[in-house]
Amino acid sequence: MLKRRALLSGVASMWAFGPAFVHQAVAQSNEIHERFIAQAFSMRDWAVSEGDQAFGAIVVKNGQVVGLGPSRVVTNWDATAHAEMEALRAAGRTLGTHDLSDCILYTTSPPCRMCETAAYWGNIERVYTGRSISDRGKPGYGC
Amino acid sequence: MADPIRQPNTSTPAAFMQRALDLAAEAEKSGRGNAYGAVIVQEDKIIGQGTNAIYAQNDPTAHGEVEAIKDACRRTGSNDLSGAVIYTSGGSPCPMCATACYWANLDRIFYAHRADEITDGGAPGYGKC
Repeated sequence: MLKRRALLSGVASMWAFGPAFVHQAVAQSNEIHERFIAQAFSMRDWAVSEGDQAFGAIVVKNGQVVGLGPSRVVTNWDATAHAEMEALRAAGRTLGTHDLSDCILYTTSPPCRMCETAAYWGNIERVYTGRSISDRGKPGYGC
Repeated sequence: MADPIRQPNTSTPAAFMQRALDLAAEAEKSGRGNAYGAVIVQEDKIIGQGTNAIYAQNDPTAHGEVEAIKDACRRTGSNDLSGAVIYTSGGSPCPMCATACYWANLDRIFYAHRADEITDGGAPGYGKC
């Protein structure tokens, strides 16, 4: 009931304030995504500077970065240390739980099947990838 | 996991699978994680072992297979485990673990609920994406 009321009032306010209001909200959220995806790309640059594969990822919760993930496949000799996996591991350490509900994963390239499923196990809320910040939605089991 | 690797008395598939099943039981008993374990075997020797450790490490990626691959990579100093196979407890590995086996270049996946009923899961593939 509460949800429905909130939805109705949302629709009402959109009608009242017109498209300019909606446009502003979208612009604001794009700005936030751009800032975080830029941080994922800085993780990629870091990985490259360390001699690793050119991938980066970060995990964000409530507007705070909780996990940084440069690819560490080469530097850690770890076949499973893709950028997304490292970001999820770091987020788990930061938050003190394996349950990363309400967290968003930003990654420089579309995740592979391993990383997509890892995000699924971590209960990640949403995945955004690449310079275009394409919205991949909630991660799935497999792809 | 820096624990020394306990090699089975005989180098049979059943013996390797029994180690994976024992690791699974240990994980559940100690509360490290859910009841899953795995070993990586190369030339009749276990070169890496792991258990599910999602609670102990606060790590959603810490499934038994992933931990075993990480351990084998660390001990061999290589991210390429070509020529090795994985014995893992439970059913067919999840897409994360199956794809981790693919990235580590493992030759074959064997899985089982019981040491005397091993299923050959074949060579790991990237899977459909």
